[in-house]
Amino acid sequence: MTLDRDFDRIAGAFLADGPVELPDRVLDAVVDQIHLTRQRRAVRTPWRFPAMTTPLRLGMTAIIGVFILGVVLLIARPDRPAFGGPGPSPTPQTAATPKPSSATVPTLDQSFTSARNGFTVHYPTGWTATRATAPWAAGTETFWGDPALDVIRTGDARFESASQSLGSSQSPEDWLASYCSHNTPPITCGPAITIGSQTGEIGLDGDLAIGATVVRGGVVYDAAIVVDRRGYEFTLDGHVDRALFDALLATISFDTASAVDLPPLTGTFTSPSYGYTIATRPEWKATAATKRWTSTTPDSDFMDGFDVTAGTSVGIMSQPLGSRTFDEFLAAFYQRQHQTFAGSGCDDGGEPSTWPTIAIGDQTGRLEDVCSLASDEALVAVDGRVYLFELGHSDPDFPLSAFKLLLTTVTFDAASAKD
Amino acid sequence: MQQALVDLARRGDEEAFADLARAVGDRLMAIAFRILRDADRAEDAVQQALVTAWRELPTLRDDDRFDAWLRRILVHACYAEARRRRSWAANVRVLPTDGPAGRDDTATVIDRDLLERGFRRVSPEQRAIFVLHHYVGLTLPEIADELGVPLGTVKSRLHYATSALRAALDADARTAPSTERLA
Repeated sequence: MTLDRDFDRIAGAFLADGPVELPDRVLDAVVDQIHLTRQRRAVRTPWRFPAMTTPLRLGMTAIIGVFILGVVLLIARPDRPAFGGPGPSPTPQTAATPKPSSATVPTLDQSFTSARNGFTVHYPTGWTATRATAPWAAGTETFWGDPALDVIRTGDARFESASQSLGSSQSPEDWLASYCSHNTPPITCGPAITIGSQTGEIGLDGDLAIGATVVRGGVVYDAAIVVDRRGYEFTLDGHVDRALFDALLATISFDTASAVDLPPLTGTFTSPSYGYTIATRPEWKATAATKRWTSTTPDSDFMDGFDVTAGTSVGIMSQPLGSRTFDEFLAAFYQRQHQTFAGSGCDDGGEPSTWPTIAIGDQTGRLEDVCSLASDEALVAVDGRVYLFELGHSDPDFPLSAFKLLLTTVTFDAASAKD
Repeated sequence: MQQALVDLARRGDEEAFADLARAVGDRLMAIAFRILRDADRAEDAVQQALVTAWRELPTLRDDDRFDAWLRRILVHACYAEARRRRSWAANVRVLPTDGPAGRDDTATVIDRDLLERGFRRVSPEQRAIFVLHHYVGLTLPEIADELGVPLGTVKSRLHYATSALRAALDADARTAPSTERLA
């Protein structure tokens, strides 16, 4: 048998052997890797029991619970004895009432509509909005700076949001539970909080914001909600308070039908003819126009085109307005559409005055839903030119919401157009 | 100094984290090698641990616990590395000795080889406990706290690892006389 002292000596020598230096190349690799690695976005400081045995901890929990219950009963029913008599009737869960403080909440007079995430929020003048550029993958949490986040911020405050579709078999409760458990450490979501006209759950409520937060020493608020089988998260961090978070959330309206989980648009196409640039996907096949567009008739020869799916294409063309106004052009364009689709049983989109507005880059245009079997046409006037963006043969893989998202990426340089 | 770097790195300062990694890299390498018994794999585990630490740093509550927190991440990176490479046991590279001067001469090459083989028979979890106790110098309750496992589990893992290493040495002690007789 090996004596203890022999074993300890041999084992000690065995463990003393071996390298004690980390090569520089490993450190270099780490430095390269962290540059590409986002830190976790937010943490909450968990309330922990001090070191106690389990029975003592359970006992303390019970005592605290009874105490809180007693206080609640006394406050809620001051006209009744604390114990005995009929109990309170169950009441439906209601959202905590926002208590915006006019002293801390600025006027929310600006509006941002998320093309990816399907909601609109109002925010203060002076804040800047940046659109999300990627979908929020199911089963993941977002990080500070995550491209899935729409960001509206100022120097020391930042409002962020992302959304994702629920899994086919996932219930709203499952999604919320999953969302909260993905926080590090997992958090207990609740209580209820008002988000627009809906009721969500608050996750982080003024916790210390650390990591790549917008400003040192700030706090973070976080709320989640499921609307129409779409899960949303909203976060506010920085030198902010609950009143501002409540006020921002109160302005939110959801348009889940317009949300889209389109992959990131990582490429760009700059038209050789028409003076615009648009984001694309690498796999989209682009074809430049071979003729100049001069009439009101859209035709493939006049179009810069992209095959975005097997059955869907996007075409773009432009021409000078000349002496016409934009409204005059729209009227002429509608006349041509009306004649084309007359008797076809296809909706011609109605009078231009009824067409809804649509964001095309930083401009506002009009959207004509020509025919559900044919196309949607978005038109806008920029610096004396009219631009037409056509979504042809839309299919479920590239819905109208994806087209709208695509149009938000357009930038115009009308002066560079070649007629 | 380290605390200041931790604080900066937690707030996204990459340079501070690089300085921090330089400061702790050697320590991590020493521990990882002793758990994995392979320099290449130890380097991979340390690299993974440092990147994980960067990502998770905002979750660190108490700067004073950074070393223990990082060791825990490293140990888990070692587990992953050991499992990722199933050929671990069959491909151990024994490095030349570069231990401290004045080491005990009785720790012969034969002993080390026997211990290497004995070490291969125990799980990464058991090896980690053995290293944290005998090399890093942590007490068993400290290991339990650091790794987040029950004290009883720590004791049983250490017992198993120690027994396996003892058995490796004892087996050699029993076979040595017969070898002499044959000679």
